[in-house]
Amino acid sequence: MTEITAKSIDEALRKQLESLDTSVDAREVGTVVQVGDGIARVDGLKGAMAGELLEFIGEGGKTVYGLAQNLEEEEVGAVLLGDVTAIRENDQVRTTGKIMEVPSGKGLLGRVVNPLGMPIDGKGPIKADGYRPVEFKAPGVISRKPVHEPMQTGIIAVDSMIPIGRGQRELIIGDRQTGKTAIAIDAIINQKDNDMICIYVAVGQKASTVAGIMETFEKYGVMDKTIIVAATAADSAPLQYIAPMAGAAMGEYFVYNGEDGKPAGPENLGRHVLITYDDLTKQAVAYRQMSLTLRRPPGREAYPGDIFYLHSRLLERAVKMNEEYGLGSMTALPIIETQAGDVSAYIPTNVISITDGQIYLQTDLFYQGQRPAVDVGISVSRVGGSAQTKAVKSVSGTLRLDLAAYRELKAFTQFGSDLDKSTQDQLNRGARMTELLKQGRYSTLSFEEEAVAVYAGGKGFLDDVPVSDVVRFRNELIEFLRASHADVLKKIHDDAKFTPESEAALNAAIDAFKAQFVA
Amino acid sequence: MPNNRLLAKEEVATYSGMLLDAALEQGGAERVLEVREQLDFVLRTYRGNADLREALGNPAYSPEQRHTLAVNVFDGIDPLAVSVIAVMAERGDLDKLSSTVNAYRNAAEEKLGVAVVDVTTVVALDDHLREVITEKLSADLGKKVVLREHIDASILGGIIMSTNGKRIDASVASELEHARIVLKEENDGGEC
Repeated sequence: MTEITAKSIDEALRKQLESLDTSVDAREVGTVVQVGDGIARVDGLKGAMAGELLEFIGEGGKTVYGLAQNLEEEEVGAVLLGDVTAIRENDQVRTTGKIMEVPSGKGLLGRVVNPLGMPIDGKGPIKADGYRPVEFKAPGVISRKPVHEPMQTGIIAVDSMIPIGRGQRELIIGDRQTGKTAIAIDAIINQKDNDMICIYVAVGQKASTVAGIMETFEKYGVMDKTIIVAATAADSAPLQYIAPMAGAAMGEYFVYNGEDGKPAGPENLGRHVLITYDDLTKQAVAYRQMSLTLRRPPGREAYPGDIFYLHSRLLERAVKMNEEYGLGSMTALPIIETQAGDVSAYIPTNVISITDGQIYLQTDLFYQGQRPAVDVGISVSRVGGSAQTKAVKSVSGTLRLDLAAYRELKAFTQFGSDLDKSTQDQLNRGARMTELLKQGRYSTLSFEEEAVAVYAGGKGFLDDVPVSDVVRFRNELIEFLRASHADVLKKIHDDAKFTPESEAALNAAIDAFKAQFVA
Repeated sequence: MPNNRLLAKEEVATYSGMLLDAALEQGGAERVLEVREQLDFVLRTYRGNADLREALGNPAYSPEQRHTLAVNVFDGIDPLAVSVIAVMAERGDLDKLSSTVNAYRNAAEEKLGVAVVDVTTVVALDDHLREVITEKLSADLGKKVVLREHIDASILGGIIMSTNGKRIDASVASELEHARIVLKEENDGGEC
């Protein structure tokens, strides 16, 4: 054991203080002219940079940080990030010469932090590996690679028909109480056994909801690879505004650095990150509040003119890096809440146009018991099949067609006319396929299990199973395969596709299961 | 109320120019710097008091009432400064007070060829130190320097100098703060 002496402490301190620059600190200073609504107007600071971190010296020397936002001829408009009440008119403001940074690194995994990176889970201080800027320019064309690896959510409806790739930006959109957060949480829970690092950014949510989500992650064993960035409804608008960017900065650490914390490269691979922004509607509202109090001109729905740029630069940070930069990826799942299904409102249309597809959730479907309430007709993934395993891809084509035919025919059956056998068969198949997509919360499936479920439906194994028993059939079939035919699942997993042998084995296994299935 | 930016600038220039000319006429450089000091005080008072701002800018009061209010509130302040502020209050121009004071500071320093530097120390400066600081600053700024001395024990030692929005901090308190940040970052890892 190393002995701790005064000399060793002195040496350690001297070593740490080697980088101390004792040169005189020259900075610009200004004075607070007006403060209120979380905004301060500062006289002076003619050399302040846009987005620069400002130091407000309040009563008794208390320092509160702020962000320079409006650079005007005589004044600077800044948003305050800390204790607003500590700042008064005539207080001194200093420039810092740097933009806002948040702590990042492995130490944040398993923690709940505020958008400034400070722990709020009561588990003690965080040992960060370093700091990263909140505003960071997204990588350019040269360092990127097309999205090609699947990011499994474990949800059949999503993975089979709206596949998400690593590095993709897939919007989850729908009214309140349609299960948007549930999809994002299930997607995170499904990463339990792989190399994905997850970040959940909660914007403007209730603190109790965030606590509940943390508990869920802990219960399903994914909290140790997850960071929760929480700007709750009680936090100020500036904190809600920077929360998604702070989450992205924490995620970028893993994408741009290898396991050893050194920059990623061909020899030192970057990691894969899944980041959920829940939700960007509230971030937009917070930014609108900030902009209006900063007296920026309001535009459509009173949002400022740069609201599109706010979201586009955030989502552009989702990336799939190429070999030279270590192949890391950041997949973004932004969430947008619509009002009464209106996707043509300002923020939804903006984010729809920025993202690489959307998962659209419908209130009607939700109340009909179709959960997750994904409307597969209008949900799309623009990256599509290139981010899908061959096994799922080969069976999902049939699923899409069956469902499309079902939707079309179902409209006709409303007239109550007599139906021929083939139409009746298509309707039966469609009803079962729709039923097959129902999935409970926290019951994610691996890709081979999803493939098997869709395969069973597509090949007609479900045709004689009553619709009400389809979900039970699927669940019991998967249990049966796990217990008695693990080799079949393993083969599909290893090959990542259906081979004639695995298909034959699977058919036999499903037949064996059907023989014992009691409807 | 004129919202034209150029018009507003002209008004600010008129107020500050008028004040400077009057101060120069009354007592030269010393008087100019005295008025500068008084204006700083008025600006701090005006900014720090929401009720005062509200009252002096309230259009419900007649211009004469606002004039009288300004004269009464700033009773005891330099009459020259008060007279201009009262006119500004009367005309509803007090939102330009900050710009006017800034313009006066700049114009005064330019006219007199001096730079006013605020110097904060823990103990009062002796003559020798004052001379050394003045000489050094004059050489750096390229003009004659007028020191405004302040005492503040919280800086622990060293000196803080500020002029025209620039601040040079060579205090012991800030050195210690730097050391604290370096030690913290040494443990946190710095930029990554």
